[in-house]
Amino acid sequence: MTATTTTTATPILETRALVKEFQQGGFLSKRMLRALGGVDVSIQPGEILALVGESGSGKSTLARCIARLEKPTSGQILLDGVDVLTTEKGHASREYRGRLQMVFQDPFGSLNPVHRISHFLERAIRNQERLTGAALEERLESLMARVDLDANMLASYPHELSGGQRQRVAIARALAVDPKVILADEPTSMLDVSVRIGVLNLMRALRDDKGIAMIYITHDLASARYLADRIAVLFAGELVEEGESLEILANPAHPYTELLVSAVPDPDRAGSYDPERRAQLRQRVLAADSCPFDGDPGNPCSRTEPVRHRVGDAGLRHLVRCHLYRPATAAGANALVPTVEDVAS
Amino acid sequence: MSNDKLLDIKNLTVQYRGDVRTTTAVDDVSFGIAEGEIFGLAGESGCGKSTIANTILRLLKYPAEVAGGSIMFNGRDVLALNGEELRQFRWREVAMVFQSAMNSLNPVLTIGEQMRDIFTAHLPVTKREADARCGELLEMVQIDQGRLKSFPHQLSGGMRQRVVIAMAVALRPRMLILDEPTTALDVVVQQEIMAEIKTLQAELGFSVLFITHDMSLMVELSHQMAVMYSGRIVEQGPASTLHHRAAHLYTRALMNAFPPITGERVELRGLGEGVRLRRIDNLAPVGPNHWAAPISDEDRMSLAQQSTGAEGGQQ
Ligand SMILES: Nc1ncnc2c1ncn2[C@@H]1O[C@H](COP(=O)(O)OP(=O)(O)OP(=O)(O)O)[C@@H](O)[C@H]1O
Ligand SMILES: Nc1ncnc2c1ncn2[C@@H]1O[C@H](COP(=O)(O)OP(=O)(O)OP(=O)(O)O)[C@@H](O)[C@H]1O
Ligand SMILES: [Mg+2]
Ligand SMILES: [Mg+2]
Repeated sequence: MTATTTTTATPILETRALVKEFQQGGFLSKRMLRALGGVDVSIQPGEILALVGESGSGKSTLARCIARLEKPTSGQILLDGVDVLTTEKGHASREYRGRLQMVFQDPFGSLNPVHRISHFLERAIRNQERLTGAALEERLESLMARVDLDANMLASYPHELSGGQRQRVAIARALAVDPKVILADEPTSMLDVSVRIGVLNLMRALRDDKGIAMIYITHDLASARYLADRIAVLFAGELVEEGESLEILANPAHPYTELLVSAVPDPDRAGSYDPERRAQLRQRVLAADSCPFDGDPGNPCSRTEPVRHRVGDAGLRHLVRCHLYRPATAAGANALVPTVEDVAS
Repeated sequence: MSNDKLLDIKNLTVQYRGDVRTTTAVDDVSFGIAEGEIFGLAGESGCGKSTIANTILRLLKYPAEVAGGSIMFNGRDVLALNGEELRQFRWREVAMVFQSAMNSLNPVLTIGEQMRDIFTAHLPVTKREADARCGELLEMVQIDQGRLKSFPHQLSGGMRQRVVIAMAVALRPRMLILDEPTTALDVVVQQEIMAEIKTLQAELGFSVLFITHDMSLMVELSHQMAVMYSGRIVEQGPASTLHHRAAHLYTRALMNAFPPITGERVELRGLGEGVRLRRIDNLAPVGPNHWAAPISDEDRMSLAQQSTGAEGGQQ
């Protein structure tokens, strides 16, 4: 089930030192919020990378920057080796948008309520090829079937569909243009578990059959593990860890990843949530005073540079940011902002 | 079910009436929620969970219609409440976090303005008192007070969801309806917020109707739960019983449809890829405080085939 990707090939998609800052507050109290603090990610053709991390850590911002819905403050985005921010300044070309499709976090917002379902799919298909009559009809039906929806629903309006049904329409719409890369921002979080597996299998089949590469943003670590070849963990606008999916979840090396893995709901250990232990873990995330990779040959620990230490064999492609590193600018995330007690303890 | 329930739903049927077809979204559903109880409602996408929640709050809009049944809350007939009674009933008695919570905030007002409105509209408080409470609420859901000045689009999806949760508990209602409240949250924040809701719940004694697709979370949190399929309840009982001794095949498939977080990576198959239950009979007792719908022979055969695939990852 793991894709055989060679790390030497040109990545289909790559970001280099991507930074995105938002202005916060009114005219008088201007403050910059650093949503992305220099992110490097890369995916190979046909590879699925899961992006997980704290709420507010910049996952959607990263996807939106790559989809050119948001203008990065600095850094590079390379599609098939081409630096698109210099070749297509300003707006993304139609071709770019054809090669890269985004499925959004929220199916409620992404479908205009005045149109029937068929309208969304037809419009997407037209971007790609001129189909009419029976051929169009057939294409629409096969798209609906692909996402496990009844063809009857083509005549429905978005409000007549449940949340899960709407999300499947959004996926069908992305598929309509035959993209090379799909950026899926929590595409399954509104789907029930039984259907969710179906959609994950569908995504994998698209990768296997058509070699579509994907960035799969999710909060569901189990599904990230199920679907993705690699997992990257974002915290406060920066990557803190990445590696092969099974490896990283079995051996989380960064305290934040450890925290994340420990919080996965599990009915068999219900009531295991312990605020005190949580506070200790948070403390380590925010202010570790030692790094277990101290002495890493060639990669000395640093408080000021985001040094990446290798975990285990090179084949695991498992990298972790030095525990000691403290970003100079406070990033956007704040769910883990230290409370007074946290710091004192 | 006895009448000591805070919320008592009996034989509720809700339909969406269309020119071409009429969808029975909720089909003869009965359940009750006791004071201080957390009741989980699970089930496939489109099975009618949100419709039930909207019916309780009297938010159904044309073409939706209650075709039968009753809803009693604290001894009052919810379906008969008039305008002013409804205004008091919503927020103060029953507050809801909507499934589309992330989008339910007004885009042109700041977070602070919207939160303040809840207090000033329902309680005799000054603006300043209201603002102070808003700040506390925001911190409760782990968002910096400074964000009161932000507009919704300046917050991440999960932050917006947390704001709405904070707003729902603002007036300390007797019952909280949470429709997929944590889908946009990372598991760390999710766990802390659910712990917070649980603490508040124990402290203030409100009841919770908790709708989620996340069976692990539901079992962890709920006292009682019901599983729906296509507008019908197929199984109902204590959460731990359904977790360990589910009687209905659909419940079992749902419980086992999760990919594991440890061990081998195995191929799973989702339900809903072909197999449908065709007929769901009325609930029958299968144990103490535990009911399940008997399965027709026809359904039994097709589902059994399907679930051998879905259960591959477990045991
Ligand atoms: N348009 C905007 N203006 C100002 N700030 C923004 C804007 N969009 C995002 N942000 C901020 O950037 C940070 C990252 O947000 P983003 O939506 O990327 O997070 P996320 O990782 O997708 O979170 P979630 O898991 O909750 O969806 C947050 O602090 C958010 O408030
Ligand atoms: N306004 C409407 N008009 C027609 N049919 C509707 C309408 N709203 C919902 N439905 C139908 O009613 C059924 C129940 O929808 P509901 O939103 O209650 O499902 P749900 O259980 O909340 O699903 P999900 O988990 O996906 O949110 C679905 O089959 C849906 O297509
Ligand atoms: Mg997001
Ligand atoms: Mg719903």
